[in-house]
Amino acid sequence: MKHQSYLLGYLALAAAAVFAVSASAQSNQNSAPSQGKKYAPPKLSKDRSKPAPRAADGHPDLSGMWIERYGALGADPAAGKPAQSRAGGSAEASSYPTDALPYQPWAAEKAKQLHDAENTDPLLHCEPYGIPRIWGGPHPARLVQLPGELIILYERDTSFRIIPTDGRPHPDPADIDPSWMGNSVAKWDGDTLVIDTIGLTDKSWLGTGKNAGEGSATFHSDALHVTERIRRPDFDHLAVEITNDDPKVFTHPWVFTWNMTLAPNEQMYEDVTCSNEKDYQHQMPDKPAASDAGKSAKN
Amino acid sequence: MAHRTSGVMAIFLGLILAAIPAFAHHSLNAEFQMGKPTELKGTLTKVEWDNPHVYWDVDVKDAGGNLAHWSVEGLPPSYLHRSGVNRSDMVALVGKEVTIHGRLAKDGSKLMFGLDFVMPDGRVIPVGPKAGDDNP
Repeated sequence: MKHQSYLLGYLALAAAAVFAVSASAQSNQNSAPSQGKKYAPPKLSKDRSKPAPRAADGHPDLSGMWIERYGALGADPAAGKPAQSRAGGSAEASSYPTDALPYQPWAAEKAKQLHDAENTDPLLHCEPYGIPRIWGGPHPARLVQLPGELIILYERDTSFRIIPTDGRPHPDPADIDPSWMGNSVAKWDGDTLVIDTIGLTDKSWLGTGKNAGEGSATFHSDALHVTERIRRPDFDHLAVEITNDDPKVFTHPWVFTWNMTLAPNEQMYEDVTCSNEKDYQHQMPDKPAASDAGKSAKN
Repeated sequence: MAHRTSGVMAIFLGLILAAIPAFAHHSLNAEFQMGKPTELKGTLTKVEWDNPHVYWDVDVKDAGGNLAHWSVEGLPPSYLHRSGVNRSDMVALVGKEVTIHGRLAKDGSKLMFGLDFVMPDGRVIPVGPKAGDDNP
């Protein structure tokens, strides 16, 4: 079975530890042998000494299976049990704005209304993550660098991008259909691949910043212009710096980083937003959904 | 209600559980009482191992001996794989007694978001997001 992968090897190496189940008297003890082992996710390399490999054209080769973190899950703190340690967490912390995003005043108000309505997240409506929200979560991404193009396969949303890297310009904007992944073109700036993305549908949320991805209501307009700068500073690490520039809703561009580590033994699982979606029916807004009639991205 | 809150659960460590956004891709706060720890003990009757969330169906006996059918929501299959548990581990528990710690739904339905899943062999499997982690 595909799940019996390299993870079992790590289980075998994990230190034995037994979590005391202090709260429960097990009335029906299962006869299966107690494994008594604490699962430890694979450790992510902190070695920064090995140089990044080069492609035939001399640029760094960004190819690999990359993950930003393991250990997304934690034990219930109210249960008196220790939280699972973040063993193998990201080598260098990714960053995102700790303050509210730099919305213009009208846009901050709209974001608050969307947030208060509680059921407006596109993900609750079986819609995609899009760019740049796709960069997030404990999901690996597989980069495949070929002559003239970079292919990125995301576990998140089981999605992909094929990005030309030959320096071509965007098509005429009139010919670009708005989409969740946008229209991307890339070129090298020294050892940094710079991906420029336009043509993003205004249906998506950015999903980063304070309260990111949690009904964050990080909406944007059709003017959103995303720049991703990707470097491989050493063999084991991939640094992604993402700039969001939307002059219709923000007062200035803002940046977040997503630092990933090579995870060559990681496999990808399917991650679709709505194979069995049941949350929407239970959403309980704190306030009635506010109408945003009259508020538009055109200000 | 057909669930039992243990004395240990009542030890509220004062963590700001409302700040649990973590890796849930939508608002847990909109749907669940994040400040109210709850323990559910019963017989696992079904596992829905699917995206965007795994669900466990649990039959819980109330004080009168009546069975109440509960549903517990967890994070997606990929997250659980990386927590060291796979589908067959869970399916093997159907018919067995399980204990799950989590947070009750706000709308009064017999639904809980699971944070800890206690296996019969004593292992505690985290199935929910880490408290206070607000990374998307």
